[in-house]
Amino acid sequence: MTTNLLADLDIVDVDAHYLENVRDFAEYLEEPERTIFRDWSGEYHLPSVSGLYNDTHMGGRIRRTADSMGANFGGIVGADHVGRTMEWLSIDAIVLIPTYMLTLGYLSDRERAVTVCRGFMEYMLDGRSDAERGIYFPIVVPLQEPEEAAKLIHEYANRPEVCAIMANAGTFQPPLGSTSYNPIYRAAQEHGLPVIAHAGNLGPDFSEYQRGFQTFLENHALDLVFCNEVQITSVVLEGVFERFPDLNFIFQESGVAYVPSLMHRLDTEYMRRRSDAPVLRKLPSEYLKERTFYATQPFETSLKAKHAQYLFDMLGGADRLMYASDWPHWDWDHPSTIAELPFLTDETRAKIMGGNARRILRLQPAESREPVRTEAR
Amino acid sequence: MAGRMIAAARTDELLPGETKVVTADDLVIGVFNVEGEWLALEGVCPHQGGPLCEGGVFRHLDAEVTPEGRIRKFFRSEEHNVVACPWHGYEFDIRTGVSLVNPVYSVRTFPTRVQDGTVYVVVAEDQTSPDTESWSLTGGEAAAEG
Repeated sequence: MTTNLLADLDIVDVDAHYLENVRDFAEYLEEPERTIFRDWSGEYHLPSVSGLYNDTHMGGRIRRTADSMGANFGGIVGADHVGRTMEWLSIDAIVLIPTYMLTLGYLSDRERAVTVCRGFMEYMLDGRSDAERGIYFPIVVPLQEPEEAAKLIHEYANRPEVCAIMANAGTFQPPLGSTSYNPIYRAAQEHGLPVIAHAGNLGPDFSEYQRGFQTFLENHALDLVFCNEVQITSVVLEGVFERFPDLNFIFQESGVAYVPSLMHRLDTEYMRRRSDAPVLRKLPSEYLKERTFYATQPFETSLKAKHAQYLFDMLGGADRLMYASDWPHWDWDHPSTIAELPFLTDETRAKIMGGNARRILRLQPAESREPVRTEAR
Repeated sequence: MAGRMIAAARTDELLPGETKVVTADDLVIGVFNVEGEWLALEGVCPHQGGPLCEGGVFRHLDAEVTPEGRIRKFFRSEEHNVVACPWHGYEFDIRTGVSLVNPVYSVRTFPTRVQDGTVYVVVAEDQTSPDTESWSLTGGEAAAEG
């Protein structure tokens, strides 16, 4: 009956989807957009300026092939490639920051967030990390469930491959200064683990301030710095360092030039409005110069050397900095970017390139990993 | 011309648009067939020391502001004449070696000669040591100070 009914009717469907092939579609565009679309490095979707779907590799200008130490678009794949990358970059110890787990904060399903974080620990401990080879990783904590996150920290903190806890700073609400995260910070402090706050690259799709930006350049130039500025402001002014006097923070992937600027903003405002932050016992910058560290990448290579020297001094000196590559992402830094800064001494260079990280991330001493010499062989 | 001739490629080895990287002593040189013209460029990127000539060659994307104040992008020519470093995408003019973002920064170019089906790169006496000093510490100082 129904079949006959439908066959006899003139039926119009006003919403069925045709899947455009963006590469084929490009052939119908005028230049230079034809070339830009054709060579766009994103996986799908129209070229976008957001953090997730953009043309990070600039139409093939940046390349990550099998010759590039096996790195793919998002990250290093497999233990073998980790080792080859370390050898290639002359890196003795490496902290592996996950890629897809960076979007953990988008999960509103709290149970799934906990499950995923637990699974990540087992995944990384199953041959993907090795303290003896200098390959470490952080406990990615589900900030959605602070009590469950604390359990996770207690369960895994003593594994030699675990060097920190990590919060992807860009995607969580409220910011990291909130007292709701006390269970997490208490557990981390108890085990001597620092907090790695990795800036999130969200872009204008997720940030009110950036909505309307036209290019990935506009987005990325500001996004991660802005993210870290928000988190550092929250952590310092809401008193995390008074609540947890032995807890250290490492802020990543925003370069270093923003740090002195932020310190002076916070100090100036705090001196005017001390009663908004009565828990503080000293200037915001004084906490930052004792308790926070900054991963150097992406280092501002436009700096003149003498200005970089001033900048390092303003943010608290070599004790505050840790080299990071961010390999294989598009804006990665080769170790020489920092190691060859002409104003560094042997001592300050050693601190920034490795010493600070070994101490704060409780990595094994470098000398303990050297091959043991035996007379017999 | 004083210096040396480095045999870099056979003329039938590279099609138009193709590149070959050769090393001679302490020099890394990229040899390019651009529409039948043979060009040679230093192969070490001044930014972070990346393998400049192991990436791709692109058309020079440029843009202008229209009388209405809009931005109109265009390619300067059909020719692929911009070399991009595969590490970070820094772009250099394939003929002059000059950076597209700041003319102070550049990589060296070398003359080429074709003899008996072989492409030679001509390296002068004073071009034997590669300039691998980094972008910010040499070019940056020079750009600002002088």
